Amino acid sequence: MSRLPEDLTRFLFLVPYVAQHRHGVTVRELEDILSISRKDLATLLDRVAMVGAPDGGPDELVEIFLEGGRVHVALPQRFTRPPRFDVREMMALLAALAPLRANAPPTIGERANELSERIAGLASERAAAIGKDVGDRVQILADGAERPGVLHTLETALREQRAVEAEYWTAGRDELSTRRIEPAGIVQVRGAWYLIGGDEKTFKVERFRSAALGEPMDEAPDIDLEEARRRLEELDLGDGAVQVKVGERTFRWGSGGPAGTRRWVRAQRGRAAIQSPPEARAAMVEEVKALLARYEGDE
Amino acid sequence: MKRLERLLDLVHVLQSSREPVTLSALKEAFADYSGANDESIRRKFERDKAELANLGIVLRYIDDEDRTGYVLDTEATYLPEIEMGEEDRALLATAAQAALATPGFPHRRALRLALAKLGTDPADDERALLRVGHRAEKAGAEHVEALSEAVAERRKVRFHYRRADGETAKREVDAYGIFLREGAWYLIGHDHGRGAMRVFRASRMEAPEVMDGGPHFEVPEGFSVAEYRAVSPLRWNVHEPVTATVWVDPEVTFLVERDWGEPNDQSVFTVETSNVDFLVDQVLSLGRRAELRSPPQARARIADALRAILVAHEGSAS
Repeated sequence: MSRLPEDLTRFLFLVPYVAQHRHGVTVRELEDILSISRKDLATLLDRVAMVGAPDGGPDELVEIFLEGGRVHVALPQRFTRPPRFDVREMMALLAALAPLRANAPPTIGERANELSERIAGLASERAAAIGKDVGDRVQILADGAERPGVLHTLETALREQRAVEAEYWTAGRDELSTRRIEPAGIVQVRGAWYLIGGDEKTFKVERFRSAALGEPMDEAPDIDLEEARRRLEELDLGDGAVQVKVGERTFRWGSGGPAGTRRWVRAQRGRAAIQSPPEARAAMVEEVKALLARYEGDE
Repeated sequence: MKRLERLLDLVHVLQSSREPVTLSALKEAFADYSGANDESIRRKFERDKAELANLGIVLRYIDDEDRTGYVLDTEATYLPEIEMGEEDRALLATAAQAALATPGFPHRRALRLALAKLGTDPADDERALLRVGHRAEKAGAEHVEALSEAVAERRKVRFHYRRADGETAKREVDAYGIFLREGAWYLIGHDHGRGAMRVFRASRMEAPEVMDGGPHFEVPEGFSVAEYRAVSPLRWNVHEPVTATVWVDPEVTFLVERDWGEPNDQSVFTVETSNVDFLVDQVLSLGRRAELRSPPQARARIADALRAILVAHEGSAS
């Protein structure tokens, strides 16, 4: 396949980008941005070292060179701005922003919407001709029941450093309770929004029955949000107190509390069974028998 | 002269000139455009022009009273100066970080380059109050780039598709859009074999092939991936619609109101569904907090599922 379009794109980006940096740009950075190997970059630079009017003088050439592990542009000529976004660039930018546009905390959603509109306005003529909505046709989207009212309250609480008074359903105990949460941040994992509390507890936004602004906090909690997000993203097996058999495999499960484990086992519709401890197994059997009694009267 | 150099020289000449440049002048300047056969030279120039247009470089022909020739429309070609605040940069970086970490996210190279054009680095995600992450299964992720190409270029895609029941059939689909939902990538488009809009899970595709040429179709007016994917699985077209009634403990009705609407004053929801299996999953998930009241066939499915769980627990425990 021809590398011509890629090389043209790279050159048209490279010259204005490098020219903006007085001391040049490291080869490593360009390898990363341009998705190109060091060898291919060197070949490209070699090929474009004489770009200019064929009948022009040396001072009309674009001067681009590699020196000391950095790429420099001495004479960018009129290549001072990169081209507008092509179809792929526009699709990628808008798809990346999509999860923050829909069902996000209101201020973030508005900003993501405005940003997306500005980006769409920077499309090339060809990208715009393909379809002004083409950027919206790749979507990473939020799942679960979003609760805009709750998100708005949580965002306000974070901004104003106030506590949240909440009615929250804890799936692991199948229990609705009232609690005061000191919010540290909001994260989105697998399309669902979570509030991270100052005590590092996590609260899935769709499980808030209600949320109201509480008293101002003495100081904002200091939490590593990226670490909190990673913990949520990983499959947390908790304390591994419960042994569950799925098909021929047995593994330890402790995440989400006893009610959460039983909920997961119910969803497997007989493909999974709690093995131990005996009390967890008995609770599962007892719960299922009670549920079945509601339905067996029909038959 | 190699074509890359010729095209870059052509861009350089046209954007540097204060006046439109005629084809005759280009012939004089470029050895590649010289020769006796004018038609052949014109075709070569038109191919170059089309190649540049594909990259978003806009050459226009000016035909005024006092001047004729080609110019490069710099405004239509190049990005204007972009002013982005720190918060916008951080938001974009946060979004980009999450996208780049998602298996299957299409056009990664393009995203990286686009961010650099905006003067943003994915590592700039220093917004204190927000972090984003998506999870996508690896199965099928390898197809997403090709599917996304088909969406961008409005091309048909052919693939073998394995349905949930195991049956495999060849499909030919106009690729309207793709989306990631609950960790799985999907293609949505017009299925020529069925004559209707269908959704296909990427992990169930074998060897998707984007057909050459195109564009092959127009995307219907008003089509929206966001709206389509927002359709609850309850509305997926699995069977003829049925009406179900479900009692839910009033304490937790808020958990299902988005999907099921408002309950009556007895805390009973009336749910229209063409995918009763999904409704059964939802009711099972609520456990003691819910009871599916009707139709009887759906109640029987729940009873079957519960019996299967008991059977699974009858074996010897460790």
